[in-house]
Amino acid sequence: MDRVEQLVRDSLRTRAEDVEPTPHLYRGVQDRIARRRRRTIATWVPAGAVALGVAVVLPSVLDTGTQVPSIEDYADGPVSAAPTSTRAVTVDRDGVVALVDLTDGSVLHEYGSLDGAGVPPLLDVAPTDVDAVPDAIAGTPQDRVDGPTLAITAFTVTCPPGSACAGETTTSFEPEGGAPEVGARFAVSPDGAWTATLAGPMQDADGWTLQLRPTPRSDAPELFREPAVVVPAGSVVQDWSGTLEPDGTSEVTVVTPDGQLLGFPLTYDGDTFTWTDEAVLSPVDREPVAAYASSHLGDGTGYVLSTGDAGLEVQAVRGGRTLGAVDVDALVGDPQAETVALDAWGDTATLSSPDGSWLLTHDGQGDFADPVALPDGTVRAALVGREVDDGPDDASPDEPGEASPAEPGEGLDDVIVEEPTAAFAGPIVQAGARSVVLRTDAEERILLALPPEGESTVVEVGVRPGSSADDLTAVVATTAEGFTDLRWVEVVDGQVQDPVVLEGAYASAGVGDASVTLRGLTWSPAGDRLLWVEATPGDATLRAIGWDDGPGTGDTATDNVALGLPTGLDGSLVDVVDAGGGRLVARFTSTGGAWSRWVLEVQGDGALAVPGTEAEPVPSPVGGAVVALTGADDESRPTWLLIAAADGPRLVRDPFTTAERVALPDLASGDGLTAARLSEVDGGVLVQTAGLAWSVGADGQVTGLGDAVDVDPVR
Amino acid sequence: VGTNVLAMVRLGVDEGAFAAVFSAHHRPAVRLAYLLVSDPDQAEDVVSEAFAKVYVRWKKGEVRDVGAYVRRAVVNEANSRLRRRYLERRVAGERSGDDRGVRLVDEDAADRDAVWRGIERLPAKQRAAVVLRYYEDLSEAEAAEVLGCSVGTVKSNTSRGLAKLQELLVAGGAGPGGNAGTPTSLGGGR
Repeated sequence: MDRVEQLVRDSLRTRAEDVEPTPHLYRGVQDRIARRRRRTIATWVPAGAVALGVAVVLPSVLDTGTQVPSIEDYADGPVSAAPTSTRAVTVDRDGVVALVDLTDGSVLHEYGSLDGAGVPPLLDVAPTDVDAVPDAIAGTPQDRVDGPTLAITAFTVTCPPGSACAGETTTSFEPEGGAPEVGARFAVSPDGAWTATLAGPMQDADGWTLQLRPTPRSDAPELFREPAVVVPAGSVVQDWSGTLEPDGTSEVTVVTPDGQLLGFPLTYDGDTFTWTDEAVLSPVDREPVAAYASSHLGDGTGYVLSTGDAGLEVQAVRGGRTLGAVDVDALVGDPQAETVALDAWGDTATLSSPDGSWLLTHDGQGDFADPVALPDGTVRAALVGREVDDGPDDASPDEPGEASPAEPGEGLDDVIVEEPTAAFAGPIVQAGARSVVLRTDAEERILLALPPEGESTVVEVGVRPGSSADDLTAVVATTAEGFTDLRWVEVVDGQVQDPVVLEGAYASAGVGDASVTLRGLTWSPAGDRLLWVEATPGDATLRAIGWDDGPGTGDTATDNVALGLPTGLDGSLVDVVDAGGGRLVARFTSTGGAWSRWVLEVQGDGALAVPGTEAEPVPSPVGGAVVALTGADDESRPTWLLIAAADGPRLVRDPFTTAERVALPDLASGDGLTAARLSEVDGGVLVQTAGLAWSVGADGQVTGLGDAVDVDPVR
Repeated sequence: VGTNVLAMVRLGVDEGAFAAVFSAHHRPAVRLAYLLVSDPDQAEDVVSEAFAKVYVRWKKGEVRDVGAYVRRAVVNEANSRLRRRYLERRVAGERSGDDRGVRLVDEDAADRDAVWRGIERLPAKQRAAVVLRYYEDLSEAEAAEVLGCSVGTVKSNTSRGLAKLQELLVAGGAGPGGNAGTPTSLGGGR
């Protein structure tokens, strides 16, 4: 070890020994665990509440044997309120593969057709961004000269901002022939890169072997060492759940000809699959099992199709016990594993057979609504879910948290969000780590999508005042390896334009200097200036560029100005409000827990100037540290504050008058209020912090907006 | 996530035992986090988030080596936050009081330590490699496993990090053979 290495070691150890955890750290861990539970429950509650409503409103078809409610009767149905399963990819009798809106049965996207339809179609959906059209993988059994095979077709779709989605179809055959027999179904890995099929008998194996192969859409290597897993001939692959991340475990489930449910846990190190355990015999006590599907939420929930005392039923199971069951005897007459399939996401499952497909929705506790038929002719359906955070792996801030192992009903009292997708004060622009989306009551449009494999992440977005859903300008701050750039996106006559990076004099200084940090990005109230703060240790500058048709096109003398911030403004720029009389007030949060205002002057020629006044720190009138603020009264004082108080985060309306406290769900006392932001809109407020966003209405009703690193109203 | 059949049969996990797991591993986790993010409050946030993630899998019996799992979770969480560091600086130091944030026994010492200030300026990946190699004493292969990269990447990040540190030390006047405890120009402005 040389001198530098020794210095480094000594320094690190000295620094580390200086650090002592606080006694309350464990409380913070517990709060986060509780918050994760609440997020899971928040998914269950609305679906469950509506699902139970449907159970009352719709006729109970299974008792009467009459017509099953169809999706057309389902416009206000339970699935529309379930954020994890509002869409499904379906195959109909003609082999057409389509993306279907489960709330009304409408076709959102048609992928194409499968050759050889008419036999039991195979289907799964590769996990992709929930905001885009998901990739789909489907297939049909085929006989080829060299033996039976599965024709696996990948429908890969890209939806560039501002352009129509374009698709590509690729077909491969799995296995490639040579096996006397091939399993009736396949499963797709959680990352959409691999398929699991059964074929055999192979050499030195009496039964069938489980074979893992790259999907047609995958870049995975063709050659790899796969474990020798032998199952009884005639077994059927059911599901592949979990994660393929290096530190994670996934599981392929198989139903044997005698109805045993087997699970094969495996890990993948990027090169080789390894089975981590012996095959596990499921404890489901009502074998034979005909089909199985995981909820894919990591909460241990699964769905099992089997024959119980009352006939054929689908059970929701967790931790070895049955949560509830729904009778499907009238729907599936012959529950053969080769012909029926279950798919699931969260609290919704689909049951598919040659006779049709049905949605099975429960409330997270096991109470199922009546099955609802998917559109006529649907013979296979796979629910489109969202990706989940797989534990400690490198996660970006907008990735949804890993579902927690909550017990049924646990934390229900804590949930304030009742309708996560209910009407909000839209339109809004919501930023995730890798995408920026325009959300209206009717639709979502992607304004900016960063490549998933890249280093860039979105950190802030500001919508230019005067924008509308059809004519909009927004500036997005992104970062990669500490370097910051600004991009602007526009919607012109309803068409999303390609994003443009601010360059040259109008770029952030952080674009080439990782020591420069951006602290706040906002527009002037008139939308004629874009402002932000660039900070280095011990130095901070307010940047402003004029804007009419783009950066540097403002009708002012301050198309590009940099003003040194006065001492004491050590926090972040929040917004700029018009104080009248040619004055603007820039408002800042402060590291000391107060907020500050700094008066700027707009001179006769439009130039932005500093009249010489110092920044004025304003203590919080309600106690606690001010983390974010918005709205302005006649004295430029905020009408909303987000406070980090000793007992947890607190949202306060009219802090200088009535100081009304508004409860926020999901925020616990242990949560760090990083990157918090408030935006007043229509008497309410948008809240973003801790990777989540909410809309708080003027009446105090709170609506969860989901994961977000920033959110800004369109106004 | 998701090993549902395993979850069916792995019953009876004692949730209360997680407190003992936390007790055994939280101090080194906080120290590691601090070395990676510098900010004391962020270090506790990182560790809180890491343990919350660990809990999910631990409860399902999927964590065999808690220490290694926590270490990996902390490193990944810290790296994720470093990428968003300028947002985190917005609230750095906002929290105060003895019930919030890591206690630094000697805050002035950090400022005096030119080597430490150089480490703080390293790119995230180089910094993580250096910390894992010289604080955690991990082998290159072990560090690669934690970082989810190849051994070669660990080697290059470590050597580049050390080279940059040496360069900074020389530029700052401390020099690799000098007194790293004296004030230098490291950590200056733009």
